[in-house]
Amino acid sequence: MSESLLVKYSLFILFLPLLGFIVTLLLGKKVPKIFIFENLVMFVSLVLSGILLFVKLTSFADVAVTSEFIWIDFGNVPLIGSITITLGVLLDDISSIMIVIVMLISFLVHLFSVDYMKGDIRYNRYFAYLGLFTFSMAGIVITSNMLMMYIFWELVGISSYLLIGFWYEKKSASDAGKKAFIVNRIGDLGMLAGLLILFATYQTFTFQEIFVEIAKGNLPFNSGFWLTVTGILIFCGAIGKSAQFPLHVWLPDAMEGPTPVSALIHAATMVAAGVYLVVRIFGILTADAMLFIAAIGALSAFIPATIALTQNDIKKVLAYSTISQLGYMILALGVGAYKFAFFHLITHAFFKACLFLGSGSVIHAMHHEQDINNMGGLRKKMPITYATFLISALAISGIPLTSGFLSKDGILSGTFAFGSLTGHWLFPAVGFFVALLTAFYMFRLVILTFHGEPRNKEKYEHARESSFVMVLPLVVLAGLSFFLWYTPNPIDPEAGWFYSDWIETPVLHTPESERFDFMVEDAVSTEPGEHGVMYSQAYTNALHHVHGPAVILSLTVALLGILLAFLMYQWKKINPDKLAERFKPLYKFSLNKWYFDEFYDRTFVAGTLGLARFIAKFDLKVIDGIVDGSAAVTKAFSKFIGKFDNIVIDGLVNLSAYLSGFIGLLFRRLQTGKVQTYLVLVVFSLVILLFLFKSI
Amino acid sequence: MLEISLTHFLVVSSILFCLGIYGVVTRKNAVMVLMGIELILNASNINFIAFARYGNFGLQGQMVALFVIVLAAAEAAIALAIVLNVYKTFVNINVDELDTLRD
Amino acid sequence: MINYLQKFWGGLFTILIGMRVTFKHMFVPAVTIQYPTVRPELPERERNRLYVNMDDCIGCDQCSRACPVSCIDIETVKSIPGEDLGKTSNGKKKALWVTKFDIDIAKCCYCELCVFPCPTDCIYMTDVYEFSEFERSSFIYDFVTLTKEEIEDKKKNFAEMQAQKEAAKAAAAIKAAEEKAAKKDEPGKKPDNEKDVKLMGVYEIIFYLFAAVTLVSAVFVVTSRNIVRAAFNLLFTFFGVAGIYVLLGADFVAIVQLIVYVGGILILLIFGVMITNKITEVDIKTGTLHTLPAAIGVGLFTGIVGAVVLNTEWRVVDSEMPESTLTTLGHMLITEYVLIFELLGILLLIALIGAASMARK
Repeated sequence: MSESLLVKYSLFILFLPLLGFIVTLLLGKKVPKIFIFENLVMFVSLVLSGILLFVKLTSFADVAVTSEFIWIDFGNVPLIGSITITLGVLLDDISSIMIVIVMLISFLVHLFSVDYMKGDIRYNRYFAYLGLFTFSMAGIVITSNMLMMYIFWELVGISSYLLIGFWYEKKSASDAGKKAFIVNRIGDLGMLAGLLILFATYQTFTFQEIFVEIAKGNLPFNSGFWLTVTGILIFCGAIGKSAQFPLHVWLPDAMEGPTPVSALIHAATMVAAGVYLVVRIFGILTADAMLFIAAIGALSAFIPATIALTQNDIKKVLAYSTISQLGYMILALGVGAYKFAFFHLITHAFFKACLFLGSGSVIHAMHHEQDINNMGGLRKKMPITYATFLISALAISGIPLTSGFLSKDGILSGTFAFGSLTGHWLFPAVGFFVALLTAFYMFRLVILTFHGEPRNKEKYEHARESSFVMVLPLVVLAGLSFFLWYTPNPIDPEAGWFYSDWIETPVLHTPESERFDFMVEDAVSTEPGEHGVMYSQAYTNALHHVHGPAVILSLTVALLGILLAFLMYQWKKINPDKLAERFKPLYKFSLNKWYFDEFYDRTFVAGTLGLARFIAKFDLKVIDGIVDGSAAVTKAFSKFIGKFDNIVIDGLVNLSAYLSGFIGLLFRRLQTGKVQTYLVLVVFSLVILLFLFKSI
Repeated sequence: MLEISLTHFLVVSSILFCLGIYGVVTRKNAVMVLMGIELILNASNINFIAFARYGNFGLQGQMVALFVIVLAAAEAAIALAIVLNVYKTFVNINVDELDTLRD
Repeated sequence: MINYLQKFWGGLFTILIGMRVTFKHMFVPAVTIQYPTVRPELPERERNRLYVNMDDCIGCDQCSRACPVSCIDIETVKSIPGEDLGKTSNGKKKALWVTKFDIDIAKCCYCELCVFPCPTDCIYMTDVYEFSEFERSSFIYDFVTLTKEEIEDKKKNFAEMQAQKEAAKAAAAIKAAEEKAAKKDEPGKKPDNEKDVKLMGVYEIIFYLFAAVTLVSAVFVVTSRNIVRAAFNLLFTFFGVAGIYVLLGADFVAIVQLIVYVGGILILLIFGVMITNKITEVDIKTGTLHTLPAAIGVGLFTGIVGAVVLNTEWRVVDSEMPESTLTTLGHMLITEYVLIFELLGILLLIALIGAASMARK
């Protein structure tokens, strides 16, 4: 298979979900069973993407297959120069793996939704939206330039909006959709700014070309500071999309959407897009930018974890958990643990999706009951759901034999190494503390939902295991959460093919002066496309050094968390309510999500509304005032004209009439009726005529 | 005292003519108007006779004068008949008061 | 349906009728004649080109006068006495030489109106209809039979005869004048210059007297307030005018003036005055209208007319005062002006009847 054929093949895979979307949308009302077509299309895309991955890894290993075409050529724009917009495909290992992930999870969600959404009035449209989303996400993943990524970025945003607000009859759902989109847009603003700086400097949007330019030393505005700024601005997009602090407020509200949607979009794929973006631009991040990113990531890991401790809605807990895990990934990228970040992205996609779908199964069985305080003892009723849920919970907590253990452990080692190399010990501290919290609240969730006695007897009676179509995805995803798929060694990821062969570390393009010391290469070639080791020897050493302690520490922390959860909820040795009473302010703070929503409401929202009100008043008073004023002027003018017409024009007419009368009166005297008078006149006329014709 | 020639007679007749017009125009009484008309006719007669005498027309001028006299007679008769009729209707014959046709 | 079939048959049938007519015409012989080998037969009284037989022409000019397009041009010369021109075919004696007889046949409209008035039937229409020419001037046909010299000759003769006549007339006139002068001179052979001068003087004086009378009384006529006074002044005016007539030698007219005007019209006017005005008082007053404008207008007019009269050079023929105009006037009345005379009679009758009928009611 040649390169161009591969590119065309990947484009075909890209456009299949779009086809599904269009067909399902158009025929949705007429053909009730059209969702089967959509599901079929997804399955086919999945198979094809699998083949693509296989081909890429075998025939084109270590090669980044890329192809571009010119979309719009503006020619020579004055003051700017020549502008051409190109679109293209970039297929390297990361994008190939990502596309398989996207297609797989999308397909499983499709399958799950067949039963979950049965009976919904807009059933077919739901599947159409899912198809649109898949298309948009796939577009983000295989694109080669930033503008195209931005376009698909926004498309994903639209799909998210449509799906979150799918049950738009509920006000909270439509509000959540709006919130998601608007908050995303704020992040996208920063991303656009970064994009434009890049374009202004390099006249291109393509990743490879930008990287080459930067590697040559051509920095935006010729300063490293501006390169940092650009990096941070582009990262803003990731903040928005991946629900990082401070733009994380939309993700919990997004739980208003159907649970399969939450699974697909807000666990596995869309939120991962932010992380994917940072992965893509990793090569041009300066040390300061990376520090900023790491800080945001740490915060985003810590805050939601604390909130998740006290939440009672099963989906909300999972939502905060998602934010927290994404924070982990961002943190990893910030500290330079690139491969582990990507690894965690993959594993998180699987077990988080499994958790969400499992919760969906529970919600479906309990007839849309989402409060865990009303659940309990479902272990007996829904064994398969329980098993998959438990496996995923173990994965997220970082227990060995799961994939989650490998990736999380890797991240923690990375932070440890970073701390040891740079002295920023806060990051590993936060990382480990959050691991503790994660384990705790996940198992709290498990215990309260599945263990113990049912608290709502009636719903419990009606609950039963979900259908095959819903259970199958759970099983598949749970299966993928085991270590086997990634490495033969349950403890060491580096031994596995996934870590070593499938993901390649990218080349750093930032000038060496801008990087961390440990990131300055020495003696190793760094040509693009090769498995160039990015890090210096110091980093590799540090990593190896901390690996062991990090593993032990993370394991300890995880087990401690699980123990605490069991103590409080299973064995009831510690009373959670009393604990909440004692730490009431903390508890309240956590329960109310750190009052972020209220704060934003009072400041930004109120400010925008105030501005809108002012402008409306201005428009009413000033603009309408001008219009009315002009109308008044016209009226006055017309009045004047009317008076003028009356007095002057009519006056003229009257004058002419009077003149005629006067002259008539004058001439009437000639008509005396007397013949003699006429004779006199005749004589006079004769005299005059004689005078006139005297000469003749 | 020049030798009497055509001019003299013509002058006389023109003065008489103008006096006749004056009479017609000025007089209120209808009969006075008729007298004016007679003067005019006489003036023209003098003209004819004068030219008959001093011109190359033979006695044609005198013929015409005769005819004019006859016509004047006829006209005077008719005119007076009209005047009498008017008098019977309006009981006065001031021509300036006979203007009912005007209204 | 039936309607449709009927219409259809009707259409078809009418087509056949027309076609039958056309078909019949196939067996009709052609009416086109093969001119010019075959000539058409002309009707009997067909009007074609004119012809004049000069032997019969007496030069009466009737045909020329009758022609509506004036295409005949005739000139004649009187024959001198003693010449014999011969007779026409129907016995008329010719007295005029015809020196020009042109017919512009291009103008001729073939109306035959010239043929009818000819007393000798010398002009008539022939049956010639083919007479095309190349020049338009060739269409003027000349029918005179005299030669150019002969025409000149005749004209000269006529002119001579005229001259002779004139001479004779002149001689006779002189003779008559001499006789007359001789007659006059016989009684009273005194060349009385003084008397002549004095006669002129008297004439003048009388003229001025009569003129004054006329004008002054006319002035009184038009300005007098008293109607009766005005009427009487009119009488004097008439008298004056009559006197002027006498001075001009129109004796009969003067008498007629007196009889008719004074005796008739003036009496009538006075009767009118009497009837139409209250005559209880002697002073019958009457007013005037717009004297001033009238005076101005009339004055101007007078001036102009007077100026004209005085400044024109009248062509005066100073002839003798006739003794009595009565016979001449009477003769003229019966011969030349008889129509007018009769009409005036009728006019007077009508006036009489009209006035009488009008005044009766």
